[in-house]
Amino acid sequence: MNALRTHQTLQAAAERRAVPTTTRRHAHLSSRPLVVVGYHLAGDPGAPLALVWGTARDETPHCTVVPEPRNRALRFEALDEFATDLLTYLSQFEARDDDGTCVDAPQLVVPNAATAEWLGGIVGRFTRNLRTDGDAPPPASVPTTGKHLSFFGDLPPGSSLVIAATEALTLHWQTGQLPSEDLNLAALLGWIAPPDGLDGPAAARLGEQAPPAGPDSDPNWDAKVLADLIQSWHAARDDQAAQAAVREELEADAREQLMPAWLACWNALDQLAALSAGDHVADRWLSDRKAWTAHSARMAEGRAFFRNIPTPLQAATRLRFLESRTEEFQREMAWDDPLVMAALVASGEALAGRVVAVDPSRQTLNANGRRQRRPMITIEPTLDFARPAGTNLYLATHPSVKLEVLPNDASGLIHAEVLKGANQTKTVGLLPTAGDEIVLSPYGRTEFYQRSTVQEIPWTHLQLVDDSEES
Amino acid sequence: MHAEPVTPAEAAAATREQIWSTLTEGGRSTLVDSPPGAGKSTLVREIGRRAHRQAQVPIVVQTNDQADDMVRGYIADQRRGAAPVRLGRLHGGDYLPPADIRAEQGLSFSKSINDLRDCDVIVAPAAKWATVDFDHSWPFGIVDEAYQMRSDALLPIGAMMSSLLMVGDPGQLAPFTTADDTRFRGRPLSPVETAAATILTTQPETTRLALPVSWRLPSHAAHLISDAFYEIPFTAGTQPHQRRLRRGVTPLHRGRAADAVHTAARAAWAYLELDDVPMPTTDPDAVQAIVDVVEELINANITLEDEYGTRTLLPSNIAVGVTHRDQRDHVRTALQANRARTGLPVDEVVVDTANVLQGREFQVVVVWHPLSGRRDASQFHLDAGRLCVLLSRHRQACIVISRGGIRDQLASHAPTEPVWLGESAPVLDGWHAHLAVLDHLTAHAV
Repeated sequence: MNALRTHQTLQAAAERRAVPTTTRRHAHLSSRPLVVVGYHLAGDPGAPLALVWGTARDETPHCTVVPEPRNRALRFEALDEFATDLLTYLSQFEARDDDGTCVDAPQLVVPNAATAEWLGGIVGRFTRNLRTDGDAPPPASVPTTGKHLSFFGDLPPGSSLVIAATEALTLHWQTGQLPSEDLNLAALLGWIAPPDGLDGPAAARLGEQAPPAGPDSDPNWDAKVLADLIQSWHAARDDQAAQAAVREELEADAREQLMPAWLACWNALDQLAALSAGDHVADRWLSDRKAWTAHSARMAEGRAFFRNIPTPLQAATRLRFLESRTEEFQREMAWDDPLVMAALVASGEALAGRVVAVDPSRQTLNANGRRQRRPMITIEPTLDFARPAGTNLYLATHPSVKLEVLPNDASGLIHAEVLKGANQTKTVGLLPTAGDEIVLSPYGRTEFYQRSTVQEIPWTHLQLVDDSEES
Repeated sequence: MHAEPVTPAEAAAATREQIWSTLTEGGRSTLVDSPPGAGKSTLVREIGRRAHRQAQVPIVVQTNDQADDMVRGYIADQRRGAAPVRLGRLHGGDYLPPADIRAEQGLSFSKSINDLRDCDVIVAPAAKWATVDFDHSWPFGIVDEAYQMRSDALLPIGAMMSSLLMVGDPGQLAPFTTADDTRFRGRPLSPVETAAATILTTQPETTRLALPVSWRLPSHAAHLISDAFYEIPFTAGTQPHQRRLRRGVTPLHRGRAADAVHTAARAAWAYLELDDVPMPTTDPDAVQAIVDVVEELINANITLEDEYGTRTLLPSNIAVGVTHRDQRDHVRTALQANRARTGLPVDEVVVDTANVLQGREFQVVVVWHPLSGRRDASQFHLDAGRLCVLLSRHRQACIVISRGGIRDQLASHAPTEPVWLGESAPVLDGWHAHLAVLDHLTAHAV
């Protein structure tokens, strides 16, 4: 945790209200998201118990329940109901633009990372490879949805295809409670937007009284309501009308438990929508649209396969992709948002200050004795800047301009010379002028390297498994 | 039948011959574990010199600095009379050849492998090898620092080279990723494991050998490092009387920094403990203590004696090892400010993080203890590899600077990292290594 974030935490605790950590929104918000909340049976993430979903807050959301969560046929029946709606929702995002990219992409909104992981990781994983021609075949929609969920379950940092409300909110606000307490969406929203007459901690305590947002249900509810209903379901074994009545009752109870979380998701979206989107949000959404387009094409061609254990080649490619996305997301947030950049200034990684002099035509001699243009800017730093001479920094407003900190003199001013990006006649205009307030950040433009692609798994990564040992 | 080798030099030579004969027997992969300063680079160069008679030998290192050091080693060997080798240094677009080797005879620099067809040995970092067109292939290649190399970086190497000698130091820092690696942990052949671990998994018949003697570490240090950090024990190649630091100037006023330098000169270790206070990573008192010790080291006009003779301790023979990059920056800035004030060349001292100091060697190393001033002992700071790197870079003496209270930190440490199913537990226990080191250092406290 950096110094600014620590300060913001203390500030939030003192003011009894969450403090913004960004001035912009760093996630794309869809105009027609699908909000999903759900429970699974306690201790059994593979047994969905209830799901509530919908695309409009002013309409009553859909709800499905599994009256006996351990019964596979009932489980698939319920999943089919959800799957049919999900597939209808996803089918609205098939339209392509002239480049062949989908014009818009779907967006799933869930209350927390645990629900995202449950739906994408666990439900997706156990349904995606189900066969529809076996002894107890699930409806065809179930494995298809499993593949979609698997796609939504493995997204890079900065993606907005899935919004986990608690994660999105803690990216933009800092509460005065513990990070583990922020995992409760209702409590987190209490800190960010307490109802009239309440302060953050009081609203958070109130939020903690609400039923859990899933995917784990309230154990008291399990004991007092769910256990009885499951028992009634079994008691009404041969009586279809009685079973239907039990199902109806469970549905009403589950809906009552899950509705607060469903509404909290919309509330979270409102909080985020109040911020204006950062400049790079559209770029990242374009990557999301491209990822969705590729997935949708793979689905259409029947090529959407998901390995439980990736091959060494897939794992290497994926890891490299995740590394570059992790880093880019950090950089883009800092470039887009002065408050994110301020955290870097506070930790001493970036330099903020007022330009006192600019020498755009300064020249030095390089190692071969040739003259080279090295413009110099002199900055009066706002905070102490304790980085050594030789540190590379980049103009926050033009990350293509790379500078190097020069040895400092006794004046307390920082001198930095331009290494590239603003040392030619046509680029020197990118330099600030005297009197400007500027920030030099540690984030430059990402450089790309051409790599050769390994086509087949080489001998170094080929593991010969002896079948006789397995059996 | 050879007689049992008696001296460290004979033991080391016998191991080198054993490695060469393993290679000539045609095994696909050979892994050599090397403790710090055990002649790993010498071994790589010698195998390269012998193997190029059959075919051009590609050498894979991990960084540009390591590649340049490898090239320098070859040039030095030739000056001492070794058979000349035509060297190729393959590099990326932004790279500038260092001034001291730019104009060497028999050494070619190029961005393209096609320009280096005539070379006997080609040296490049793994990242550069990954850009070579895979139509090229070699029957045999050498990988240096195989325990620093990530498994995914080995993929292109395996695609081009059909047999490998891998050499590395198992006690050093393991590779890492900046991304969330949850999905890769505990998986077979995970891309974040080391290249050495991968080859041991896929090639169970790999011959595994170990170099037995550390030429770098003085006898005072070899025993501690071997005990605390290594599975296969090793010894020092020198006797205690062969290495010595002698102060030219006896200080008029004795401070703690002077005491630390004095103790280090006498015992090869010194431990300077500051008050037990939790501090941010860039603890200003620790920075000041380090600057004081460095200033004292340079001021004391120290002469060093070793098996190569007697000479003056230069600022560039001294390193400061830290844990975080911002610590590095604060120490560098403080040293630059000190030079501006005193005129002493304290800023010529090398200051860097453990990750960057891996594989490098200095006469005297000043270490900022990874646990100094922390409230908690996190996995990152407990990493046995990090401490091992910091404590095994020196030929003469090591001075450790820390806030007090490390023993309490270790005692109250509750591991919070997840345990990954399917992942073998680290062979080394950072917690035990830290305690062993602390017990040793306490005996040299000033």
